[in-house]
Amino acid sequence: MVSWFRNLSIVIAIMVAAGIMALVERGQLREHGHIVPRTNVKALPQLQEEHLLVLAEKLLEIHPTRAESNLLMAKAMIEAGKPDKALRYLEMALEAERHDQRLLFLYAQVLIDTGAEIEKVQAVVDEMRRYFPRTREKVETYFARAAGGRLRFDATY
Amino acid sequence: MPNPAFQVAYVIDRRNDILWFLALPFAAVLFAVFAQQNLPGGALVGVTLWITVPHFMLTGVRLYGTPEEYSRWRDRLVWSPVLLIGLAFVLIKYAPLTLVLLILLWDHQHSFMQQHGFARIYDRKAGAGSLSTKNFDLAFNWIFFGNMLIVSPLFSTIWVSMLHQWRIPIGAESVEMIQSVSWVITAVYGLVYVAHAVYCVRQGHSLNPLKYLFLLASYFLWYYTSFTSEYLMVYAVAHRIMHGVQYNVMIYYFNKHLSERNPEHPSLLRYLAQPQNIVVGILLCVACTIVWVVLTEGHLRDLGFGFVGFGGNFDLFSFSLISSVAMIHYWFDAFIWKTRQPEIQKGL
Repeated sequence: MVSWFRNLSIVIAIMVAAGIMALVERGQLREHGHIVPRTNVKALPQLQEEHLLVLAEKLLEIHPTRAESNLLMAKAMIEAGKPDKALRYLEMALEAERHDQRLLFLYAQVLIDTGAEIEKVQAVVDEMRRYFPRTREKVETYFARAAGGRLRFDATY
Repeated sequence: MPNPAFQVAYVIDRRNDILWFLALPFAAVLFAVFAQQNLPGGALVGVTLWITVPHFMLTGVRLYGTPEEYSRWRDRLVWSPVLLIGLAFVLIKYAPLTLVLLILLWDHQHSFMQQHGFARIYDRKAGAGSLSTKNFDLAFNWIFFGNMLIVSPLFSTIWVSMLHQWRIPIGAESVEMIQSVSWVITAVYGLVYVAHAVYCVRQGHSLNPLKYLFLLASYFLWYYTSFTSEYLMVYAVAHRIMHGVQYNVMIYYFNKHLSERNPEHPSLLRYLAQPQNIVVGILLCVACTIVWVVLTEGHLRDLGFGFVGFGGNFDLFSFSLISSVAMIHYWFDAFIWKTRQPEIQKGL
């Protein structure tokens, strides 16, 4: 038994440390409710509401032109019900990085929400379908519904 | 006769070292940049499936396929997977932030420790450096890799976000201060590291120049991709190619050397070590990759006649598998490559 513990001491130490951190995490979540409830287990934890806004402001101060900073601010603006402002941040993010699926997805969604021309939405959705073939079917289903049947998905890539 | 200032020795041999340890990091960067500009986002998935998954599997083939190694590490090989799969399962369900942090930190530590291990092999084979050189090398890797994580735009965005998720809402000024301190520590340590090399030569110890070229190539990959790319994919593709391919090459030659030097080496591993059977080894990797895809991409549902994979916890199970296999690999690698152990030296 002693040798069992000795052989596995590092794994056990990691488990104990992870257990303590998990308790802290649960406590913080209960107290602040700062993380978006997950809809599937593979989703990475995300901040929400004012917590997201604070982070986005800080990141924009540190890295004003980076895609991630502008993407987070765009999300914060969407949560605050300001899609026009979100659009501006998304366009800045896309200038820095065009091949990020999260960005393209949100951009297409906000374009629809702000009543942009359908050709513009079509171009962004097609870009997403071309660069991210693994999720092409889901993207087509989602945006066919979101755009009220105005998008066409004839081209194959 | 005094030792020469420079003593060249290879991890494998001249041709293989140039190809896999010196040129590969640069080729991996070129491929990652090309992939980012021209390939679909699925490129990372391709690299993960064809390189990273086989490199997980080869650790298992070595450890569970060698009776001598299995008996030496029996408790760890039997119980660690059980404990770590359980840990991943519980953390995914109840504490995802903790799981992300744990895997991220362990992955980074595992990455630079692999390069540290290769650096030690370079010195050991050349008989280079003094008794304390291994400590200087270890500190070099902690400091230079840590600095990359702290100061690079790619990773500073990630750690600032994570601190906010952990309710440590760090501001721009603090970030700037931490980054400045990190640069100073790194620069000072860089000088200390050079001074140690000079000290070694003055004390009559040789240096292996290939070790330094190897470290330079590795750190070029990490710093270049983390400073110049907006998207984690570029870093991840380049890093996984370097890490996975170097690991696979090393484990192949380790097994080859053992089979040549140890008459009691298991027959399957002896068979795989023969150059004419390398195709069988590759097919084994492909088979393992297919099993991985079936287990993690939901195809088990299609193969399970409708009985398997439709429970509410299937996604949780498949994600636990991905997370725990990575952790098991990090843990096994932490104790199976100690170059000071005579059993390991037999395979180098």
